[in-house]
Amino acid sequence: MTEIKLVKNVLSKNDELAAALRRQFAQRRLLVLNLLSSPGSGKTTLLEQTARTLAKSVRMAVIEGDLQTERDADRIRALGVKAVQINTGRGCHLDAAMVGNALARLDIDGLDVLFIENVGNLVCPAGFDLGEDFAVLLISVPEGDDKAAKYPIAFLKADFLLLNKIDLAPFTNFSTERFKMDVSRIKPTLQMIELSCTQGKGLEDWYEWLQTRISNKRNATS
Amino acid sequence: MSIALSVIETLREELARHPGRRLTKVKLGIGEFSGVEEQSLRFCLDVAFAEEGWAGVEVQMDRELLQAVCGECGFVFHPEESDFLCPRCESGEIEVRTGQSVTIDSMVLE
Repeated sequence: MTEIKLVKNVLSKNDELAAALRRQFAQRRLLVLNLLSSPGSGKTTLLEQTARTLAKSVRMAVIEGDLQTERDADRIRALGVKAVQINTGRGCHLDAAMVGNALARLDIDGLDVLFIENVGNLVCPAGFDLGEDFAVLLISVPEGDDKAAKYPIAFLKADFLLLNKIDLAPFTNFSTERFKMDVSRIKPTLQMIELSCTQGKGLEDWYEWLQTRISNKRNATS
Repeated sequence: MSIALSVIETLREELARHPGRRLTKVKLGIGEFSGVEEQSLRFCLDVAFAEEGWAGVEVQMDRELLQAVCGECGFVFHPEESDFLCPRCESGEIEVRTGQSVTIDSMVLE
């Protein structure tokens, strides 16, 4: 009987694929965002609003991750933006291989930004690098102000935080102060915008953040 | 399930280097903060191992504690609950060192 030491990271294959994607995106100076949230937080609605406002000036495409259906990709395509749907079946997150496969169905030449809308889930997607520049975490008010304390993994992973459906705050017991306090104990450097995709609040700040990142990436030396 | 399949893929590659040997045990390191639930992973591994013809292979799971180091003062600590600030200098410039991954630590062959 022999014991053979391996010490191999189970996700190292995913990390290698993600690194290859990142190089591919860098060569094209394409900004890539990985959108994380629970189901129903408003990721697709945010992308719809973004497409409506910026599609004329910003060349964008979307990779949609869901267990089933083309519904999200259809919503994006209805606005004239290219979208590819990945159906994960029972898979609770996207991985770098799935994104690589989706790129075979999506022409990314000449794009400014590629949004990858992950499967709605605050746990598993945090472990899987997709080659993105930034992970954008979306939390919505009706989910409750305890989400940071309960799901710190997603907040540690996040590079930018959007607090959506802020217009619903008066109808719930959500405390923005309590939420911010928890976030500051996990990642004090994490910037946050309060947002309402349906009422328009905070969208200008989101567009500004996005456009700054796009021009930084465009001017980056790859 | 994708983690279970990834474990199998890695083991398959490693086993190919030892022709004629039989796998009897696998030791995994499960990061406290990996997002992986031991019970569910064990269930998925049972199913996937059986399909691979590895029924009966023992799986040992060791918990790898979360460990962070402060970028300001260098203090190494274990973040408690959802508090990731440095307990010594309150800095938020911390780097998580261990406890975020799942590793295959070793395999035992017969």
